[in-house]
Amino acid sequence: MKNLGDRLRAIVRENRRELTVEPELPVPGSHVLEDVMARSAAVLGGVPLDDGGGACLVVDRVYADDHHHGKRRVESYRPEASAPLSLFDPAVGSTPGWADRTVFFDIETTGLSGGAGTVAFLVGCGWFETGAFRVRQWLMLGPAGERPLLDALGRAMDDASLLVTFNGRTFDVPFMETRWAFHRQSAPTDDVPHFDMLPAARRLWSRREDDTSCSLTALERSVLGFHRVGDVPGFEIPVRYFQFLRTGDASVIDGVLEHNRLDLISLAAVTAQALQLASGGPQWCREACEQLGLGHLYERAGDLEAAEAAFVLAADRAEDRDVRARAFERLALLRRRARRFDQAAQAWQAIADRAKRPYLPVERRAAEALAIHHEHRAGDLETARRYAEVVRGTVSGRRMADVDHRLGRLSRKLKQEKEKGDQLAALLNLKDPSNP
Amino acid sequence: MLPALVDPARKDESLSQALSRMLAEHETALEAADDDPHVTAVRRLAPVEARYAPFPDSLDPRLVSALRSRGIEQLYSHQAEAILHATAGRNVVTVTPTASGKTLCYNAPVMDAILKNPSTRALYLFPTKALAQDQLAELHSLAELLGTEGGGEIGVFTYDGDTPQDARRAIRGKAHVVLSNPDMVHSGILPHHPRWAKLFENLQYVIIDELHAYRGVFGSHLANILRRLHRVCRHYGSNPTFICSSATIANPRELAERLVGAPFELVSESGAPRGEKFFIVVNPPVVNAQLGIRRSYLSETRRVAIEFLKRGLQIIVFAQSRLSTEILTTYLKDAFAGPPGAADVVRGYRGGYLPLRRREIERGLREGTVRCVVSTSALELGIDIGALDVAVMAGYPGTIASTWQRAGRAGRRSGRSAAVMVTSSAPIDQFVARNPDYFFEASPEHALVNPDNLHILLAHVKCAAFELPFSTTETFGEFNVQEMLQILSEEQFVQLAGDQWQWTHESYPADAVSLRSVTSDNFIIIDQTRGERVIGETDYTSGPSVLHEKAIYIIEGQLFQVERLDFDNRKAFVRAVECDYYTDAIDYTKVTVLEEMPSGGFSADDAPEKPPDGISSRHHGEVHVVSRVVGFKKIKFYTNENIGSGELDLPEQQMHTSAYWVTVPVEVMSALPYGGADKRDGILGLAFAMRNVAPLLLMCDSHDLGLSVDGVGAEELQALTSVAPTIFIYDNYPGGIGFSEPLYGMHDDLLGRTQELIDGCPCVSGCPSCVGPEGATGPLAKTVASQVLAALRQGVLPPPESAA
Repeated sequence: MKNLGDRLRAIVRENRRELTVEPELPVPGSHVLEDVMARSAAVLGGVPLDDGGGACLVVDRVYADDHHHGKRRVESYRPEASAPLSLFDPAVGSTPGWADRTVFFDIETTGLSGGAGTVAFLVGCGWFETGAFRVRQWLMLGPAGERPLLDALGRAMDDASLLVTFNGRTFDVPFMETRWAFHRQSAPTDDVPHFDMLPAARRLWSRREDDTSCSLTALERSVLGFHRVGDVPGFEIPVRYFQFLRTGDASVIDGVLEHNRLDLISLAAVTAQALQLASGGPQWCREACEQLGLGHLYERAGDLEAAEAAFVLAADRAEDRDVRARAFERLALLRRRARRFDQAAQAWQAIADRAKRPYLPVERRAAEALAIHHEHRAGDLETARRYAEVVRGTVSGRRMADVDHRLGRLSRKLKQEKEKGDQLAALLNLKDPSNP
Repeated sequence: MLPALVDPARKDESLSQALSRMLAEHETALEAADDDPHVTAVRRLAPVEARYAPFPDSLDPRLVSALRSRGIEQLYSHQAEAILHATAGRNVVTVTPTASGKTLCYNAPVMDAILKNPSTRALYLFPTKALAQDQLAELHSLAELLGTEGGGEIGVFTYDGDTPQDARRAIRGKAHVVLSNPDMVHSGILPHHPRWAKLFENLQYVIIDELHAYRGVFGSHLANILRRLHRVCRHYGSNPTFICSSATIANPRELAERLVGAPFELVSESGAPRGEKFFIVVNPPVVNAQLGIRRSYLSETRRVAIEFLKRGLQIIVFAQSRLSTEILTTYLKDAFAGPPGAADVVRGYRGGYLPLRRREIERGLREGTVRCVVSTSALELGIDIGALDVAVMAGYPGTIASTWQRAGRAGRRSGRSAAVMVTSSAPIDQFVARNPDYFFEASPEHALVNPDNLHILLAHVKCAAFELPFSTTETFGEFNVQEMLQILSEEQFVQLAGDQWQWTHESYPADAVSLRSVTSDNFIIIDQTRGERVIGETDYTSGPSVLHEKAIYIIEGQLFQVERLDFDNRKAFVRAVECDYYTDAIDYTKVTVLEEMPSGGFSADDAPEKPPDGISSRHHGEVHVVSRVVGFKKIKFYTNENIGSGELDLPEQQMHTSAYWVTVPVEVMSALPYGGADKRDGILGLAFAMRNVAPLLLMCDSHDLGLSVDGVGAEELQALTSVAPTIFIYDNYPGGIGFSEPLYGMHDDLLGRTQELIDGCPCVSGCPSCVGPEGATGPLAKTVASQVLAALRQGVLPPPESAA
């Protein structure tokens, strides 16, 4: 006869998932909060938060101006009020004094679902002070640490002139709003302008058209020339934190704090790079895809002349077929909108000239545009049909039906043309006395 | 071809004509004292006058004037009563028949509260998404009306799995009234309660419609979801009043109190008027007295339905299963096949049809373009299909409550309607046919829930711990969860920090729970006759039995054959076929006892005396059930001939549940003066009869129980002198839902009633209505079963001279 406990254990274990990290046995009696605080403070190099009830640790790190992060010194990443932030985000960029106290912001959480049971156990903020970049992190040592953490973070937000995040619009900020709501408080982030660097980074540095995985660590390597060593992978972060909670051993999360600090400096550095590129212009770019991205930015901001110049440079410099084609495509679209149809067609043609099977999506679009151009503007039905046939080979479903519709119409037109020709010929023949 | 729908003014007359034959038949049988009449009962339910009550003075004048502008000058008495309870902050459950204006019982208090304080919020729960959609239209028009009365803008939104992601944020902010279902509250709202802070801070009313639908597993889940809801409300400082509505069941107040965990007021006297209604029970005639075989109840249902249809009436036909729904749809479509291309006037309806098709059929019924719908229990709930003229039930629906529910689908506030039940040859049906008084006078069933089923409870304690940390003194409902939290902490789901259990796991625990079945999995059915298109879906549990290879899958009378079942990817590929048979799966079930419960632990009232003479044969406890579909039969339409079969090799399904079982002692078995095969037939026959009597005693749905017999296999037959066969009647839900213990308590009564059924059956040597059809059991099944029963009941061995 099993007792209740054994039956419960059987049910719980039946559904247990494999743990990613083998947990260490809990150390009995290690959970006296004062002990954990004292040892964590020593291991992580922090101090207890004032009014933190002993459950929230503050860890400060200062990176002096002459410290190198990647190829450049920290001081070169300092935000400048003159930087063209409004190219990326007009609303935020036009806020006066945004550069006064730019706070870079990043959190580490116990899960990605964002449900009530996930918390941001580590919150990091970074800002530039005289002569240095300072990172301040708040770490929860238990649930009692969340309230004081939120209060401290709220004060930091009150001082901020601008919040900069990487994917914070989707993740970090809504996540924290939920935590404030959990404690039935309004979110101080509501009152701070917020610039999310991720969409800007995608625009500037995505290699491929369908590439949405523009991670900060990838940008670090490619844009900053910084290579992390021994970084804690993201999926391990919650597991390590739970392990810390169980054992009180702060050494397992030291790496998590370092990961968060590196994210913050890199975020500051990448942001600075993006702003410097935007103010420097396409000549400053190292790569064609940056120029293409810049062109996008100018176009969105309404500076079509600068945009066209950037696209031309990008198309000219590009070695990658996809980047080159996309630069020409932007160029074509821009010119078509300006009703410079022949120039647009030239740009489409430039794509078509280098197209290869299997066709890239942009090449299919070029063929489509050329089919339209030749049918309706140039009046070259034969060429139009040739391009429509190319399109037909690359599509399916409803799009296929559209192409077939076009092909049907083209062949009717061609037939009519031919009939007209034949009639004409017949007429001529009739007049030919030698015809019997 | 079907005649046109008769003019509403002449419906009463048409109905009388259609009924007159049945009524006359009944009269004749009564006069002739026929002991097996064709029409076994006719009841006339007299029309009922409306009882009214004025609008309570406390109601906001804007609401009263909006209702007046809709032609509602006063309330029915039950509406006024419910509104008064609710507005005074007392939880209330209203039990009222279909079409009695139950929605006003909850819409009035809710709208009244919103008018008086625009920050008020209300949450409505419906058992299905379709019902929520149905209510949305009504609430919208009421809200709009109130807007014109100066009530400001009242936001009413559905929030369910179909709500687009980008609309969700807006709904969270703007909705005064959120229409949802338990599944969404469980997985989408409670775990994200901070986003819903505005709702929870101002939650004044929670509405639970169709309360009776929450029994068994679903109800046990809901009870736990509501425990979680209470915790979250406490966190945000609200304490909502619950307004529930239920169809007629035996214990509405008890059910509401058990689900919500708080006291309730009961409003059970409907003040709504009702037209005259006839309730008729038709028993198909015996066609082979020797074998006790009656005419097929499906054919009989077809005949009855045609009677009404050809007189221009609109009807609903309820069938017992998906399969019989499709068979009846086929029969009735055949009977009224219009010219090719004509709109379908006969439609099928069941779970598994895609939502669009269902909405189209519902609309057709309301508009009168659909004249006959053949449905499973899917249309039993309050989906708006208008008022139909006649409800025909093919077979006893299994419970008294659902019989009345289905009968209620026909009938208007004035004018005549009818409900006809055609009984099948199942024992329970024959019991009802032969004892119509039992049916008309019996209390409807109790809806049982078991919120403390450990499987269910544990899943929700995890969810609750995720939502808000438990304190070290907290209980969950009445349940002491501290031991459970301790075990969850051993498994690292939570951790004690100070006086709180903190959630320390990456998972999102709500995802691991499905409220309606064992798993949230389902099979989709892909027709590849022309290209590929999805034509339906089936839940995981019934997948293997309806979608095995070579199975005939029927949807609205159209036949498809399953060509391939991709079990791992949960897909069945079918192709349209023309054939004259359908398939019926054969499954095999094996029960293993995990742990027997001690016979103690009962209140003295329901525990009978110790079994006489020490033949201890009853048990209950936890069991492991493994079932597998092992083959199928091909059955010809109309004649029901078995025209072939096939074997199958499909993965097995398992569950851990509770069971009641009877072991027939070896002494009894060896004392029976019959051969091994006859003994086996007797045991199987006894099991068949017991399994059919049990739901009557438990007042539960027949599908809630499963049956398995152990110890009668081929190898054991030889050894019947040393092996005691066991009859298991188990709760057909993982974890059990609480039927086994009461059944154990009713052991004597169960055996007594089973004996009455077997001995009282007029057949000679077994029939489908007692121990099973003779073809399926053996010629001595009835005799042996009866002797085994006598031995079990009296504790005496069968007398040797009784050998036939």
